Amino acid sequence: MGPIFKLNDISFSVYVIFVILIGMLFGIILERSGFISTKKLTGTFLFDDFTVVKVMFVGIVVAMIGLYFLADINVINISKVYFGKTYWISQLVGGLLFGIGFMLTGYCPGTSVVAFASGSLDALVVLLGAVAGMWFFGFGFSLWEGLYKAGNIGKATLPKALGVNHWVIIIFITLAAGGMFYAAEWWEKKIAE
Amino acid sequence: MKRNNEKFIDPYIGGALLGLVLLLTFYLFGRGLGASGFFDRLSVTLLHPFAPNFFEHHHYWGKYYRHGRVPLDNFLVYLSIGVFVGGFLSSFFAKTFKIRIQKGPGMSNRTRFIWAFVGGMVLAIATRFSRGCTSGQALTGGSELLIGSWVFAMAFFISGPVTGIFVKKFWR
Repeated sequence: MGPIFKLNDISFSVYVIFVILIGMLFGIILERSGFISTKKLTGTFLFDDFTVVKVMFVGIVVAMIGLYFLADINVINISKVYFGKTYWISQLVGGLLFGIGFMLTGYCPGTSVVAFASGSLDALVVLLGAVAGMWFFGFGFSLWEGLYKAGNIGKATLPKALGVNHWVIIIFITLAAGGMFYAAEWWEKKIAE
Repeated sequence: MKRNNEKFIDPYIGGALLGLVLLLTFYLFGRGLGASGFFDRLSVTLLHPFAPNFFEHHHYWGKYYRHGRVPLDNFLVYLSIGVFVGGFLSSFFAKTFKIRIQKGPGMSNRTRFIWAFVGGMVLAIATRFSRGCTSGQALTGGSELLIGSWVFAMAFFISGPVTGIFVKKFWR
């Protein structure tokens, strides 16, 4: 039963090797999906390339169905899986800022690492800017600590908050993603003409 | 016009593989993927030697030093090392590796670097408030059905296109 590394006593070096291997798979998939290209990444919001939308939402749907299915059949002990707390006001502000940073740089943090690894020097500058941004946030923390902690509703999930079975939400999100893929294909075909 | 897709794999296949790797990560480690945490941990580590006591007891960064720990001894750090190595090997063997500067037509390198730096700062600050980025929140938290992650994703999908209106000439 999973999570394997939490439920078993496994040596630190084996743990590190497995985490690095998972990271490598993650990096290979990001690169092979074209996430090293600022043209593809910015196309998400300039509405001329929906690669990111497709990869992201297929990824979410597969992992979402997989996680809850494996939990339901007791292959994963979901109570041992880390669920982050929701600070919805802080995260709303974070999401709004993130969209600005994404369109200014043409990357998100993970893709900037992969783009730099593929030789893109602008991605290195993004990484340096990100380090400076982290310093800025940390040194000024007392100024925005209130906002940072705003909207704390704990470990809140959609099915719990809405009082429905998780499969109701999973099916809804899967259908919505399907509708989005259909619209994306239609639109990409239209602008290609 | 031919679509410039032949260099990369089909996005639906890429997405399915990404979902399976995330699922494997849940199964092995009881947590998901992430990237921005690495930047935070690296950033404080770079400054730490100048004033160890200050950072170890800092109101925000202090959490990374509790119980004698160091920030770089962390899942997200090892993961990011793997992402870099995997990204390099993949681009090397797929022949997409090239020393280059990606930018829109007519933009100078200098302008690209200035906005890349400023935008990088904005991205980093954003991830502190959202407690993660596209991988940690949208992908991982999204598939866990966390409310905060879906709030983050929706806010991102609103501000992205709005910013896009103003910066379209950066890219096209």
